[in-house]
Amino acid sequence: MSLLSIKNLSVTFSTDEAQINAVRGISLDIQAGEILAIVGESGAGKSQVFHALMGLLPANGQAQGEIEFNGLSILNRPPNVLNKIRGKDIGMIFQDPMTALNPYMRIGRQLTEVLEIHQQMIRKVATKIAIEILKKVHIKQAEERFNSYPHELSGGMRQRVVIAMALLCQPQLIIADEPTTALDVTVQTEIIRLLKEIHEIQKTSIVLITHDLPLVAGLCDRIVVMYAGRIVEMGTVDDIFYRAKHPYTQALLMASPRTLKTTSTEKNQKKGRLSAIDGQPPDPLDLPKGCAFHPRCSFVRSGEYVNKQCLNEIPELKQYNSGQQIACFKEHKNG
Amino acid sequence: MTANTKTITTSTTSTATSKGQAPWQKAWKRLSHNKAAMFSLFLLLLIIVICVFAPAISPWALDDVDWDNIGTSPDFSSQHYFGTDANGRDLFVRTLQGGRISLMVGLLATAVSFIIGILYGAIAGYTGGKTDALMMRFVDILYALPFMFFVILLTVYFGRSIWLIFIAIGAVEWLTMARIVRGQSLSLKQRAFVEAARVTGASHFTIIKRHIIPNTLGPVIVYATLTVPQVILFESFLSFLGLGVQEPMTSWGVLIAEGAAQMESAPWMLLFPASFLAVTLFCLNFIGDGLRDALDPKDR
Repeated sequence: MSLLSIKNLSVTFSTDEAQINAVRGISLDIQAGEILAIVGESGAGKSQVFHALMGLLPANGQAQGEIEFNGLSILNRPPNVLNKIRGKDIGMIFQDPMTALNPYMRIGRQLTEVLEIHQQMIRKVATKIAIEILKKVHIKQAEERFNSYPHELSGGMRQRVVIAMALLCQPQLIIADEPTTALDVTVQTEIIRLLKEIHEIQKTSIVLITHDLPLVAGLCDRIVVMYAGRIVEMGTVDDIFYRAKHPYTQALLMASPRTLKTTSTEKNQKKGRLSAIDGQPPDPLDLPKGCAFHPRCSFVRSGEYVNKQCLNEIPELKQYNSGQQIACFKEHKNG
Repeated sequence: MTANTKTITTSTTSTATSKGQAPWQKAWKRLSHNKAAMFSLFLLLLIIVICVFAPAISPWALDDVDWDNIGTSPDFSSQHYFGTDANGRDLFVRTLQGGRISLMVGLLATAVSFIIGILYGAIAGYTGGKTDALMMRFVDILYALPFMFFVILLTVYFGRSIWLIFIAIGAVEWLTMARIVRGQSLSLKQRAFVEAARVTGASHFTIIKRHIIPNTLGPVIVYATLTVPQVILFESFLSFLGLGVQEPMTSWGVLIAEGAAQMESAPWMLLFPASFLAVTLFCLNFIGDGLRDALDPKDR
């Protein structure tokens, strides 16, 4: 049995003007001890999947489908049910460490609070454990930092504190929502290394939501590529980096600086340029008919591959022999 | 890197490296550089101390009538430092006693409105949706009630008493406070640390107590310091109209009303209580102003 199983999840936001379908029916299994990366542009719905899971959707957001954690259905459950799982079995790391900590509380207190809620620990014991965790995320002088306020720490240190907070109750699953986006490049690698270390020591499953493919390449086991609220391709790291089939994944790889040599076209390689993905991310209020990617798809645009299906039908996610899953009519046909 | 941060902290603050410096301490540091605010704070404390202790050094009591000196100007030989009123009562004692009442009303009514306003606003803002709409419409309705009408109604039903003033003023003042806090918590609940608290499984009560309220305190404290003078003026106004404290108790408002009536024949009767009130109000406004600068998040 998988640790977390998402079945046919959709998330819609109702605004005054229209319904926005942020997530349009995705199914996903996360195994125990696995690191899964979810990649996609802004607005692809990658964060919303996990906001729905954690019960963090705003009042106008609605989730449908099914999410099971350890066999327990957790989607749309009331807060008192969720509170037994959130923070204890599922930890969450936030994007911006500048805002994820309460500026008026010492970081130590913010950490011990979690332990007091979930494990009814007395303050003394909680303090000891919190300091240990701070050491585990490589915060120097942890005892001193325990009494610091967030504004006294650097961005990287704050993110370590946020990670420490997610780790406190030794969760089975950690959801990291773009944990490195707000940090500079050198700190990014440190944080990724830290996540890997945590994974190796505690065998925690990690879901990494990101738009930085190369950064996570060395970290994760599987990669899920999302576009306009659907999964377009899913496979192992090698599948995605060396055998990417979906034109969106290919374009995404070409747009990343570190993969120039392996995937970029010759013309671009000579110039040493990155190729951007043509067109604009789709407007969620007005998604293109058929495959949501078709207006930007290089095959469709160049006329190399034109199929009426692309324009009229939504491609299903199909599994191929290797286990790689692709949602593209061109691939389905070549099969 | 740690060594680096440490040198930076030690260069800016020499004291609080290991314990960590609270945002409050920072604000206090900034406030202490504001000369007007610090002087006002000193003066205000002085006035409070004088009002509390000085009446004891005068031989006269609040309602002692000195038949030999009725309506006399300030005179040290008879120990009427501020003179006497038309009934021969010592103005020095009466002004300071009145100060006690005025300051007590100001501080207590503000504190009451502060507590009610914060709780009400934080709950409304954090809960949001229909509850919020309902709670804030109730505030709107109370806002719409004419204040004087409300107070007169209360006095008619319950008779005049100092507690009534607290209730009347508190009932009006918390409305603005609630609105401020609600606005703050509406934006705070969107912040990532509140979300973080939710995903760590904190209850709504814990979130309001630990995360919402402490973060609203900055603007609220500023507003509170500006409310105190407003409340003192309110009380003076009520007393001036005869709805406030009862004789022989007095307050700055009452004394000013009496003094105003005798302004031409006995100007000292107006001068002393009026200047005490004016200085106090100035001080509170300067402190509020200084606090606003000190707590301004943009300067952090």
